[in-house]
Amino acid sequence: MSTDLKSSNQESNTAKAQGLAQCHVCNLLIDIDESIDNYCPRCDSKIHMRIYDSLQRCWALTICSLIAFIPANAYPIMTILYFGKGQPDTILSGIVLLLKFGMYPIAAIVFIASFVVPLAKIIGLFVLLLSLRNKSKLTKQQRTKMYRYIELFGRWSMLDVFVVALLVALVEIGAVVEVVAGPGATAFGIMVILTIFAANSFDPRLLWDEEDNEMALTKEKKNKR
Amino acid sequence: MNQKQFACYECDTLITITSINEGEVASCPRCHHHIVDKKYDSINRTLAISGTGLLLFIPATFFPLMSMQLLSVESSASLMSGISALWQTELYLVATLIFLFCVLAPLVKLSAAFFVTLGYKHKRHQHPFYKQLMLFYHHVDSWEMLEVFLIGILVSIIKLKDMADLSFNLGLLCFSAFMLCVLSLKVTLDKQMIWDDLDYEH
Ligand SMILES: [Zn+2]
Repeated sequence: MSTDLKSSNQESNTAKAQGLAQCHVCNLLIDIDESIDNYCPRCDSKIHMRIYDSLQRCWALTICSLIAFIPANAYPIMTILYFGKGQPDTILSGIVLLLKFGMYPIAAIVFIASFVVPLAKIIGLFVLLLSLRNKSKLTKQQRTKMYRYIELFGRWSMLDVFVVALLVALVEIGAVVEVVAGPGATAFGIMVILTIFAANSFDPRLLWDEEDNEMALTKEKKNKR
Repeated sequence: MNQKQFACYECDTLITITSINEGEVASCPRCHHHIVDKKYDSINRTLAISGTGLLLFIPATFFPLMSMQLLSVESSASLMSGISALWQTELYLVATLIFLFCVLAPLVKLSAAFFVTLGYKHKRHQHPFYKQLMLFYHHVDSWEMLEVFLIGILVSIIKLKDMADLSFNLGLLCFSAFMLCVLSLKVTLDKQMIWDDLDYEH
């Protein structure tokens, strides 16, 4: 069930155009004076028209996550030792091993969660950031949807780290088999955290602001004529 | 419902919501993001679910989730033993992250939801401390990753199933129920309704 809503005012229908900002904690709409610091009267949170320094922080964090993506995949995430010997496995070589044993569905899950999702998240954030500088082929609706998926699926990249933790705890049969976690797990954890912060610092409303500005400009031009 | 005007969180469109019934969702006309999501019997349901979740916390984190038998040696793993095993192999950061995402965040979230609804039921929501509790809930809301951990358990079971005899333990059942309680908070707790009931100076 959902109710259809009509915008209250068709011409300047965004909060920003009306000088209003919404509290990000309790959703109260507040008249905002941009020359001073504004606080929400209901929950005392500090209010900005848009997420403060959104683009700068998002660029920095996305670039950092791309850098962290390299050691996360290059270093071994764990080693399975049979009688004290074993080959260290990175995420990708672990997936290849799963394919060799014929475990296709599980290989697909691990590949999607720990390789496709973080990479898609980083690339997606770059696409969103670049679309604010240059003209983009994607519509605003599509880009907003893209941002929503980035936020929603990002957490799934922790999957392989959890698997390593469980295997390390479970397989401690002394001399026969042992699982040792590798430095790749740390790099991987850092990368996941960085991508979460990067996605959180992006403000999807910036995608729409441009259009709203253009609309306001054309309206001004019409008025001048 | 006191607050009538909202701005879409994703595209900033201003909309006016005059009336909305329990169980209905109001979504943005421009980007279709959900703006107000009015929930059924929010306070009672949340109280029941967060209470159950808190009772399940100890068995879900300390009871063994699964055990493995190989050459007559048996070993088992629980959420906490996984974290301590990583800590012992000196992966301190990874161990801390898992502790935060799968132990601390869900526990803190459940307790916050429990006290938020308990306080509301006892009409204590105008107390200054209540506002802090709501703010606290807002900040811990999106950090738990229990459902990812559950899939992680399944993946490790399948990875090991050819190598050794595996069996499930009671802990897995408790963990799944615990996860369901934490996930249900998203469906039952109506933060907007509670915020709307808090007094403030205009
Ligand atoms: Zn507020």
